Amino acid sequence: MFEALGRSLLKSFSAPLMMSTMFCEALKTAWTERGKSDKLVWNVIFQQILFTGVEAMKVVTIIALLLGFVTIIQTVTQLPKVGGEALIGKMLVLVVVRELGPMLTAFIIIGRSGTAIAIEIGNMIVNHEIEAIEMMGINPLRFIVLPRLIGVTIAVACLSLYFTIVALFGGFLFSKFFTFYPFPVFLDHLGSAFGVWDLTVNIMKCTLFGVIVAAICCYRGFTVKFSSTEVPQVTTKAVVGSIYVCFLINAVITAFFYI
Amino acid sequence: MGYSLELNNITFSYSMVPFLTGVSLCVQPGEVIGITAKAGDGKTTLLKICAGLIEPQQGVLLIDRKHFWQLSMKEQYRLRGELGFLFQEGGLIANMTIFKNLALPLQYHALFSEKEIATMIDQWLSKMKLMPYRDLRPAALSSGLRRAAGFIRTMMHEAKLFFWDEPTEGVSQELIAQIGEAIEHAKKRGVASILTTQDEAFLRQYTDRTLTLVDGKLEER
Repeated sequence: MFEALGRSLLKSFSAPLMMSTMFCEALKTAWTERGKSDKLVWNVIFQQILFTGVEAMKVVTIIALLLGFVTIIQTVTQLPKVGGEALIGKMLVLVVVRELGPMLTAFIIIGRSGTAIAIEIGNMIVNHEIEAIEMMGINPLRFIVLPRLIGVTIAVACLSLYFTIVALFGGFLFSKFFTFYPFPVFLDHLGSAFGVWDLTVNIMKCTLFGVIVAAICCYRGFTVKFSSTEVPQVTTKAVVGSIYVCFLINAVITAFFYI
Repeated sequence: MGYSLELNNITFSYSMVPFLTGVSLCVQPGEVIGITAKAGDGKTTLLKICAGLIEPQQGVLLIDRKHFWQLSMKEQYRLRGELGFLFQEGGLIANMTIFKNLALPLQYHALFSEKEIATMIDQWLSKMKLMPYRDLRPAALSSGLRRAAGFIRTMMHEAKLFFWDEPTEGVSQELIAQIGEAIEHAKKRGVASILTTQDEAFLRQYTDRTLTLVDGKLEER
């Protein structure tokens, strides 16, 4: 019984341990292997930022506008009914800046880039491309994992900021068609509720989400062994794992800063 | 002068199924070794173990008299970069054009200037009649052409030890002759080659000795 328990414990901890090792080793290569290959690695980082950040702006804009719109509509129409006009700004900051903004940005990135990373790496293993890269004397941790870690993290942090701005101001403009909510009042509500901490926590959450999504998806991609049928399975694991951990990080940070 | 290679008592199994059981091999610089076996008997696995791509469960791999798996990760990659390996499917990166595939190792190690790299690759592509495919991705090429591109990449740097995985399978007679030429040229430079094939004529023509992989063990023919 103890043997089975130990085996199951080892199994459940092996994935996080291996992922952490991969993450640390990849970061280490930023120093230990810096030099001639820097230019090419930076090139991959920019490509990753382009794919994860710039190309995701369209979908982020639409979702941010819709979220901002419904949040503003709900707060502006419902709160005054219970005498809570003063809480409108607080509610917007709470929903858009502190909680849903970073989480929805992370979800979009998991759906777009996280899956792409896991699938790409998984297919590279099946097609022996990783072995070919290794035979060129190129460390995949430096050439594949490190640029994705850095690129996704930068992209998610920037996208979250963009999401927040579009959700608040775009959502406001959108809601103008349906509610009477003057812009100076909106600004006043927002200004009184918005603190530097809110922005700091927003960026902190997104940076961690970016790191964790990239690390989990790269790790899961590398767990493919032989067959292309494993690729969708590891992609599912990557998505589910990323969502779990993002929720966990979100809860821990919120509890730490706001309780 | 190329590198020597030594395998001592290598054991390897996939999911508890033993593939190699106590394989030993010694290859001197300039020697050409052929390994033959039935399909699925582990030729490619053995070749990848020789090249330091797969870590065996037991045994020692010495390349240039260095215990490969005891080297630091950085040293392992440096050493791999000095070896030439022709993969069965060419081993090209799917989301890069043929040109970028060939340029990758040279750019990564910054061995030449961008202009020199472009000139060198274009010369090779012209020589191998692959110029029309320069800016296409590997998926647009036939298997034989992908292997030809893989051959160029193997030959782009002066490797110290060559590994050829089924070099004659599914390729044109012209490419087979070029691979043979490359093996002979490497031999003259003192660079060893290990090749796996079932092509008896090719083995007879180019190898110094042939080994057969039977039941996970290497036997001299």
